[in-house]
Amino acid sequence: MITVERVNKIKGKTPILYDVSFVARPGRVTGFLGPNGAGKTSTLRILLGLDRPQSGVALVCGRPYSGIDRPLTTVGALLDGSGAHRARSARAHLRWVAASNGLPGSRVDEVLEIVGLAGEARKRAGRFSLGMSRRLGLAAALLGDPEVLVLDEPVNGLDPAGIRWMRDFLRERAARGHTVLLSSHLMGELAETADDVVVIAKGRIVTQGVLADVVGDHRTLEDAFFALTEGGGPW
Amino acid sequence: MVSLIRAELHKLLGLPTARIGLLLGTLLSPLVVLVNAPAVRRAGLAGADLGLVELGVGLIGPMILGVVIVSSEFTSTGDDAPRARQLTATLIAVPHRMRLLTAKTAALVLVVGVQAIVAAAATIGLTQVMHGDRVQVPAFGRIAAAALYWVLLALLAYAITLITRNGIVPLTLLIVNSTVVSVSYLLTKVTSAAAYLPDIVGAQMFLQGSDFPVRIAPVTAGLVMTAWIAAFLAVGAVLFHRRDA
Amino acid sequence: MRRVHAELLTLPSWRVTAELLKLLTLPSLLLTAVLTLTTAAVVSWADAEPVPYAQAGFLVLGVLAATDSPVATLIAMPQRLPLHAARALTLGVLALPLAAAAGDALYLTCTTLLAFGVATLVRLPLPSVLTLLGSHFIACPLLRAASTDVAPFLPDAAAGAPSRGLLTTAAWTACALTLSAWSFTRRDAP
Repeated sequence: MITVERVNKIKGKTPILYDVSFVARPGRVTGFLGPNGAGKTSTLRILLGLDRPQSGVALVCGRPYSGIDRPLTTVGALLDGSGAHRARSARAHLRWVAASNGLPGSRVDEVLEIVGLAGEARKRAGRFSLGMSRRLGLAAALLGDPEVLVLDEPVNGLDPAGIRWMRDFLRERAARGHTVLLSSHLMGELAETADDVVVIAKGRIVTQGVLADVVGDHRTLEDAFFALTEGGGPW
Repeated sequence: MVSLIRAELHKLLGLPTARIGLLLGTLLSPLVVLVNAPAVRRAGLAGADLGLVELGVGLIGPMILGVVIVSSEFTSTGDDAPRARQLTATLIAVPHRMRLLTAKTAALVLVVGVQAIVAAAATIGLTQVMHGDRVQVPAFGRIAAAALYWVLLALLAYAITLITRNGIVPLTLLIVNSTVVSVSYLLTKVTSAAAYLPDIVGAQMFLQGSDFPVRIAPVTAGLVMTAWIAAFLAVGAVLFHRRDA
Repeated sequence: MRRVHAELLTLPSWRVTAELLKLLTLPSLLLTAVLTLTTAAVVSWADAEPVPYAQAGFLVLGVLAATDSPVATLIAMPQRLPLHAARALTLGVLALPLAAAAGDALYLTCTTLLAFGVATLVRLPLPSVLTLLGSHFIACPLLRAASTDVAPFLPDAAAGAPSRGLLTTAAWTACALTLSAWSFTRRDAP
């Protein structure tokens, strides 16, 4: 369960999030949808304790992320890139991440296997392609076998087979009762994967709910999205 | 906490630049004793500081280690994602920032502490081999103080890098300041207050040479330097805690 | 060989202009310049020769210029040899007045270009800075102390004796620039 309540964020002098509130429930894939610069990544960074909001709270399983002991066993997160230093091999990166949460080294090879990087384990992260970086980032997110997944644009840089794999993977996680929150600006892709949708534009939540309800009378999620964000928005 | 420190040790020792720092710091001082031996013999030098002065050259090691343990968190991991840095992965794994800093500090102190002991033993030992007929082994307290100076200087580099979030500025500043063209040392020629600058005052913990404008007792010197480092660390920690990652 | 000449002939203005814009809008470069001149002023005020201190800033300047967004630059200007020449030329032109202000126009400009060459070879900023500071502030003084015979052949020879040492420093710089040009044109982009 993820709860974001009335989060406001000002960067420098520019407000970028206004009273952002939404929930992501267990057993469901929640899509966080919005154009570039709408505030998706900023919201997720606040949820993960990387950036600090001016006001409001963002909770994972009822607690702020930074209050969770050994957080990787509860939450798996994937943001921009892999987070691996260029000079480090994929395995060396995962090894320190595992060690920081007291996870056994054997998990490293397991997750490398899951994301299909077992053959590239000794390669330096700086030499990875975009798709491989994303896989490495996902491997780190899966180390603690968490019940909550927070993924920022997870299909960015993946090939069609990778996208399909990711979709099945997330659906299967939700089916096991896990909470999955993923952001995307690709509406077609999101409509295929998500049960619930949260739409953000210009730092404000425009609508949220079950996918079918958000689409409503519109032909597709894309039509609904443009009607919501360009038509009679709240600004 | 133990697992956090282990993770930080993994991270630090896996960096190529850190390994260079480890190597340079450990080998440079003994090497200088060897290279300088003929000149020292010819000049008939036999100061009480022989061996301990040579130990100063190796300080580049602790400086590199102190800088890269922080700067590696802030270097971009790729051109395709300018905000992607190791720090993101670090804070996702260890969101409690003060615990993270504590683990990082402990890892640095451990690595530099061991390095200092090895380097000091090798340098002093080699000085005895080369010049044992004229020079006595320095008192244990002075050798320990020199090792402490290494750890404190690594912490200074670490704290400054926490503030600047970039390794080049502190590395340049500290390397230049540790050589013959030290700005701190130059300032002591202008004002005796400069004797209390962190790197200058710290050297009085173990060096007895007459180059200091103000004589400060070793224990006082150690306390003053520790106070400086504590202040820098406090500022660095507050900024690290407050700033967006 | 003829192709190389043809490429060099296309060196002119727009490449230099682009490089100039790039360097002048780099905050870290401006910061380094300010810090370097401040240090030089403080050192002069303390009645010491500023050049041995200020050279650190010029080394960093060369490294920053060399390691700034090489991939984006190559996409905009794919002909590598003229690009490399334009980058070095621009940096030299920018460094010259700073070097004059810091106390030694020729030596410090040469040192900046030497750093530019080395950093183009090494490619990563921190290891480049480490290599250069290590050579100019640790290795050279140690070698000079160990044997006076080698002193005239060290890359910082001109720092002490401008008239005689400048040739040595210039030779080191030419060497670094040639090697880096060779590497820059041959290797895959970083």
